[in-house]
Amino acid sequence: MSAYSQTISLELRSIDIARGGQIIASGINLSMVPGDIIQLFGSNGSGKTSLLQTIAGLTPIYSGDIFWHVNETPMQTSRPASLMSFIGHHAPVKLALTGTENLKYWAQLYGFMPDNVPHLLAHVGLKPVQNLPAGQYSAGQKRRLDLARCLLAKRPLWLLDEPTSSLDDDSRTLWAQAINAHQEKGGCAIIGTHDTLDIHSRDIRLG
Amino acid sequence: MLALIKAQLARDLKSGLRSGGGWFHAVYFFAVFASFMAFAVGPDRSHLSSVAPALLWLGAMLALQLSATDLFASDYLDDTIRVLRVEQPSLMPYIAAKLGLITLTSAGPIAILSPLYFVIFAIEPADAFRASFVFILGIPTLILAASVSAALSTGMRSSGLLGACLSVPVAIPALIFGVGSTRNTLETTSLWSPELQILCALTLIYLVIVPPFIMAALRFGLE
Repeated sequence: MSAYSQTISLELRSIDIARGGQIIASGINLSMVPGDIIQLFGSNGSGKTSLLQTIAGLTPIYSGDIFWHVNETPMQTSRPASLMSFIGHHAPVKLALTGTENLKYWAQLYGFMPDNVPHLLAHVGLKPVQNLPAGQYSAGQKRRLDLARCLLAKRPLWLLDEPTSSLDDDSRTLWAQAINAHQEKGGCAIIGTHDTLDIHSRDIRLG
Repeated sequence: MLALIKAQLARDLKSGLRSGGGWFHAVYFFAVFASFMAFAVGPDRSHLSSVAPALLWLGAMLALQLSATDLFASDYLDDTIRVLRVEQPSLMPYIAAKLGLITLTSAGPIAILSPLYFVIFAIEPADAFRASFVFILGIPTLILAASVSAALSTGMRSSGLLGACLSVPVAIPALIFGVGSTRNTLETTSLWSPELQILCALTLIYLVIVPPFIMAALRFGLE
C-alpha cells in the first residue's frame, strides 16, 4: 500500500452554512492535515450535506473562508477538483450499462487504464453481477459500485455524504476498511453520517 | 480533453442504444410531423413548396427540443453531473460530448432525411439538396437552442416551461434566418444570401456563447 503522491490539507475559518438564505450552522472552524478523518454528526437538516457541498464547491460559500494546501503549498486559485472524490446521495450509475462498463467509464474520466476494474469489482463483492445491467442491482449494490468508483479514483480527499445509507453490515465494514486504508495512505475524509463506523476519526456535531 | 469527450460520448451512445432507442424520438417526430403537415397543407404544389421552409425548420426545431429534454435529465437525477462538477476541473468536456450526442443521434439523421422531405413538399430535387445544405449549416443553432432549454429546465426542476421560455431568444433568430435563407435559395436558385450569412454568423456566435451558458445553468441546478 503506497501513500498518495499528493497530500491535501484544508482549513475552514468561521464558515456559515445557510439554506434558502437562512443560517443553519454558523462559525464552523475546522482544520485537516493528511491522515485526518472527520465524521460529521447531526440530526436531519443540521447542515451536514450543505457543509459537504460547500467544501466540494457545489454551493458558494455563504460566509467565511476555505484555505487549501496541496503538498503543503497554499493554493491561491480555487479548490483542487482533481484531488477530490465525492460520494453523494445517489450513485452515479447508468442503469443500462453493466457494473464493469460503468466503472470503466469512470476509469477513463479519471485518466486511468481500466486494468484494475475487475479487481475492484471483486473487492466490493460485485463479481457475481459484474456483467449484469446495473438496473438489476439493488440499492446497496449500486452504493457498492460507488465505493469501487471512489477507490478507483485514488484521490487524497474524500467527501462522503452518508456513504453507508441502505448498506448491510458487510458493506459498512468494507467502507470502514476502505477509510482506514485511505487514512494510512495519508488521505483525508469528511463523512456526513448517522451510522457509527469503526474508524479512527474526530467527531464534529452540527446543530 | 478529447479522451474525456470520447469516454462520455461512448457511454451515452451505448446507454442510449440499450435503453430502447429513446434517441430515435427526434427523427421519428420530424418524419411524422413533416408527413402529416404535407397532408394537412394539401396537394396544391405551389402552396406546398411555399410553406416547406417554415414547416420543415419548425419540425426540426420541435424535434430537437423534444429529444434534448433527456439530454441532461438522467445525469442530473443520478448525481453524475454533481460528481463531475466536484471531481473534474471543468464541465466543458461533458457538455461538448452531450452536444456531440444530440448531433449524432438527432440532428444528423434529420439533416440526412431533410432532402426527402423537401421533395415531398413539391420542391425539385436539385433545389431540395441546396435547401438541405442550408439546413445543415443552420442546424447547429437549433441544437444549441434546444440544449440551452434542456439545461435550464434540468437546473430549475419542475419548471420546464420556464426553460422553454428562456430559450426563446436563442431559438427565434435561428428560426427566422434559417427559414429566410432556405426560402431565398429556393426562390433565387443562388445559395449565398445575406440571410444565410447571418445564419452562419449565428451558428458561430452560438457556438461561443451557448456552452458557457449551459454550464452556468447546470451549475446553478446543483446549488
